[in-house]
Amino acid sequence: MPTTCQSLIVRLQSGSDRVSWDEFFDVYHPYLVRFVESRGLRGADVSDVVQNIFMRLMKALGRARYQPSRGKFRSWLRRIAERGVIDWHRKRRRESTHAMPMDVADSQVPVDFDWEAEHRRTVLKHAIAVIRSESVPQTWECFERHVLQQIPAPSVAISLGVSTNSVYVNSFRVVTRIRETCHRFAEDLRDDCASTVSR
Amino acid sequence: MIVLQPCPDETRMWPTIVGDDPEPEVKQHLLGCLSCRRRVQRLAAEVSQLQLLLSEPGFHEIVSQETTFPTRVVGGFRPTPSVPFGLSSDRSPNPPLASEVIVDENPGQIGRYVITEFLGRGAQGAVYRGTHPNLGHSVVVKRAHDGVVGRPERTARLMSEGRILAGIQHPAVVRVIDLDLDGDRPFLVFEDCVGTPLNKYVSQHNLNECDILRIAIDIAQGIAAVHDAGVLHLDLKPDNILMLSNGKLKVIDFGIAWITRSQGHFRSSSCLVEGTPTYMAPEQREGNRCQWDGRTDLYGIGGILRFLLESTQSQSATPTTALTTSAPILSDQRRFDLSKPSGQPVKNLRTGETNMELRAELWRLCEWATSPKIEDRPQSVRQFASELSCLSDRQLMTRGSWLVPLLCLLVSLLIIASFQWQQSPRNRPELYVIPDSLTAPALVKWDRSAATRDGVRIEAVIPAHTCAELYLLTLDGEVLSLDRFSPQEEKQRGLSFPPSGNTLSLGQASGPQVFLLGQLSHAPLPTAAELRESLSRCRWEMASDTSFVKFDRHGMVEWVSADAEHSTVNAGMHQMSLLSPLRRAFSQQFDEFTAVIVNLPDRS
Repeated sequence: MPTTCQSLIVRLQSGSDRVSWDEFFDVYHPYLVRFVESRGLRGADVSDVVQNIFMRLMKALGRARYQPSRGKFRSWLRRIAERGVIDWHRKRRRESTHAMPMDVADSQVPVDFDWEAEHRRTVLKHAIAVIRSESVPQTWECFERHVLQQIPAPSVAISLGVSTNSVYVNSFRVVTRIRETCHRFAEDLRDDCASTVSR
Repeated sequence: MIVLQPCPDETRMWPTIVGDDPEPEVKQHLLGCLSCRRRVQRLAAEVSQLQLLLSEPGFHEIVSQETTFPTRVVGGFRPTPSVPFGLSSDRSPNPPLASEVIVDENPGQIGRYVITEFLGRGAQGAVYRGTHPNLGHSVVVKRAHDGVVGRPERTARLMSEGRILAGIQHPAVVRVIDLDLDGDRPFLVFEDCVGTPLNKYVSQHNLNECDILRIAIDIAQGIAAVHDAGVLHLDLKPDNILMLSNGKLKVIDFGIAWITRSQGHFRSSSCLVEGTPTYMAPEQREGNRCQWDGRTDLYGIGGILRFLLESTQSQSATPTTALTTSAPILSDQRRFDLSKPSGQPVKNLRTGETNMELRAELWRLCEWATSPKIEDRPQSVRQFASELSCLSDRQLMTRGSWLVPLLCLLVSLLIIASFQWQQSPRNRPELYVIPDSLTAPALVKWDRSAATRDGVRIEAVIPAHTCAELYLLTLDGEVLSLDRFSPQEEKQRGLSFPPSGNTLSLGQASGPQVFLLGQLSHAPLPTAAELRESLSRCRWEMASDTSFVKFDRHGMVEWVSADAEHSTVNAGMHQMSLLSPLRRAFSQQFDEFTAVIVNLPDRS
């Protein structure tokens, strides 16, 4: 299996892969920040909780707690993130009973956070950004004009000075790379109905 | 008979996916092949998903922008939303989100600096590019948010932390050039460094092991200077190392640094565990602040070294030890060209010879620095820097390996000639060539008394403007100061000891005795008591018969002058058994030192 296809999670569980950790952190940090903020936390508390969630993740991945056969990574991640927020509330409540009375619930303004859709969006965004930066410009131009802007392949070919077949091939390969990058985060490029289609 | 046509690959089916006409054979195949029709459906679903995404906020920018990765880092800070101001963090019950803080993006002027560009904002401050009013060069200004207004205690704290940061003076560390108040709001002014972050630099350049060693030495020396100023960086990672166009580097981003010296103990301005998990020492991850010291940063330096080694790892150079458990992702390998099949990276750009021996040494040091237990790491970053420098010197020696036999031959001839001159009644001539400008003290000559074999004569050269002292360290732990040289001299000086007469008698004791010439750029030199203390920590394991070994602070054995039966193999043994402890003991106390070990045979 090519390295690019190998699940990032598997690579993290294998240990000592610092480059994967960086990528994991870059993708999930803003995502978890948005999640924690959606639970009504603010400022330094957000950083605190997100940091704790990452610590839990590092420990859990280090002990290979995540088993792909038992469910999706994003669900497993959600459990850890929720637990991190709950623990923070517990700690806060404990401190408030000992020190100064403070109604934690008052400071919370839970906002809708569609965990699965946000996860999908985050991963796709990252995948597109990565492939965009790694592609040679002409390759990306073929994909962008033909697939995203839906310009017919012959017109794209003329404007870029390549053959129509090159436009097809380049577009296909960019889609494939984006799909592979999504798979590394255990996410599918298609919508949920895709899981019913055999591979 | 039905002939089964092989399924076409997806590139041939692509026109169908986007609604164009495929080749007739493909069209015919699709009619009869359910599996291929499903593949087309799957690809079509993916394409329409991508087209849908484009309409969502944020995606259009990703698609149309030039690149998504930062190529320029300014001043000491990256203009990202997570940058705290200076060193402090406010823990008010409900501080606003960084995005909710109202930041004046065009303040016009901060203090005396004319602001030209808004670079970013963090939870504690905003970063701008500005111009120095008199010199006209570009600077980076970081001003605290207006949350400090009316809170003099916070303003005072930020000012005092800024002063400590400004005290760090090292070419490899970003420089604070000003600290002032804009109304009630403190601001720090940094030099504006234009360069490439190390993580990006690695993918753009073919670094070899010597480059990695040089980078590691620069970082370690810079961080040693930071520690000397009483500050822990705590966020060392490749992104925070800026490679400049002149080949030098700068350690940047003191956003979460700790001041260690202000109150005699660690004082955190932040209650959070911050940093980048990959490069964080275990004690930092766990928030055990009482354990944090220079070795916590050392872990980060080790992490950077590991990153460099992994990023430049070619297939042929995979270490046999289990230091890496998975193939590294190289950013340049990820750059793909569609003229090649998907999943096949373009050939590794890293060419050139791989210095396996040096790489293995670097891995060893990397493992040492990243030991999970803090007590297993080197004692300090300075010690680590010294180990790296030692490696560098050894490397230089190895490069000139063909020169070694030649030099040995020449030195042998010189010594024979020297002996003959000594025996002759004429005045002794100079048998060695001293460079015009030495930077370190040199012990250039030593003789044993030919008659009694128990006396020694030492000749040395001291560079200008340095203080130096010649000591005799005896086997039983005594330290005798033999001669001291003041720093007033404007030229380098030659000296001999004893100043007059033939030799210094070493008495009847047997075993190794060390003549140590230590140098500092400034007074005072360590006292004999301090040296005795260092010496007491050394383990003496001298091989039996070697007469003379000369070495410098990096443990380099320069020459073994011995009886005929002794070979240079002994020098290697000494390097392992005796010189390393001496080096560790004295490298803390001198800028440079060099020594001659005289081993007196057992007369019993």
